[in-house]
Amino acid sequence: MPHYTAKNDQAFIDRIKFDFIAQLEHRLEVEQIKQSDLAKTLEVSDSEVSQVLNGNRNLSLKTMARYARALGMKIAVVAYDDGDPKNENGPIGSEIFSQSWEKLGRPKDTWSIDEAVVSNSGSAQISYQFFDTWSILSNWWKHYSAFSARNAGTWEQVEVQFASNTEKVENVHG
Amino acid sequence: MAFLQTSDAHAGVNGKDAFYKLKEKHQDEMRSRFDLWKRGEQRTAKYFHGFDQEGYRECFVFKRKQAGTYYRFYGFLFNPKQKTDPRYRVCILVQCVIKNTENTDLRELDFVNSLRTHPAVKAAIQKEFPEDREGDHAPLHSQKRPSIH
Repeated sequence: MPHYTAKNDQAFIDRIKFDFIAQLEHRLEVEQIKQSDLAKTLEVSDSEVSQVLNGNRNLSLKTMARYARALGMKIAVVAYDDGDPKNENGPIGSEIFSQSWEKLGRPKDTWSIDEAVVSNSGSAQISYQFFDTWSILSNWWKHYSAFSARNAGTWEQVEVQFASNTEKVENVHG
Repeated sequence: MAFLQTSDAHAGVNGKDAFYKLKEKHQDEMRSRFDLWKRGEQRTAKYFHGFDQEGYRECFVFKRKQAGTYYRFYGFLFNPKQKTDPRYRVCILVQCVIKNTENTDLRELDFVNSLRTHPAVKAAIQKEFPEDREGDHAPLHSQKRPSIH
């Protein structure tokens, strides 16, 4: 049975919107920011902020960026292939991506991912325990590795890089 | 996630009916909350939460607010797979209460609790969510590691 977001684009969009709003709500709670303070920062009415947070407004990318930045955050739009073209399982939650990023030591670029994996031999095991996260990171890593190999111009390096993504992390880099 | 239904149309067991009376957009909003719970994400109590009070710790609520009206879907957590998957939980939604105050009246949870421990309800849940076959939920470290290639 397909996930409910498979029925039409709007359902999928609403789900993405909800995930985004949940992140804003979390930030408001953690930083103890009142909705009225957020409204002041954004120079909009309290009512508008309330409508956004209650999901009663369509959110453009511009609005999403403004709200995130007003709360001291940035946003990323991630397109990904999770091997579920019929959307049987619904979208991956945004927190999965953000937690994966946190677990990798908040890398700022793809080179930092390499360093994070090498310097933290435990990271492979942690990722393994969270299989979904592991799969995402694996795909991410494979694309990155292939990119590195293309730049290096040798397929031999591809094999080495792939090997580093398995239990052989310590062996390859140790 | 599941809604409890009764064959005798018990007046208090209205969670499913109330859910499907919501506009489709609002149903999806609730489904987003359900998904968040299923993903194990508990960042804010604004969308759902359990209860700390003694005797109500298995009770659960999913929440939404619309134009000053509070919708509360009360239910309970239950593990129908105690033998084969001790960490498994289903959330059985029982009752929807629409009100003008945010606070929970414990009498609403008393009703949920009375059904949570009812033998017929427990049997119905266990029929719908039977114990796993052996090996379905073996610890991850004993399963074959996923291929990444």
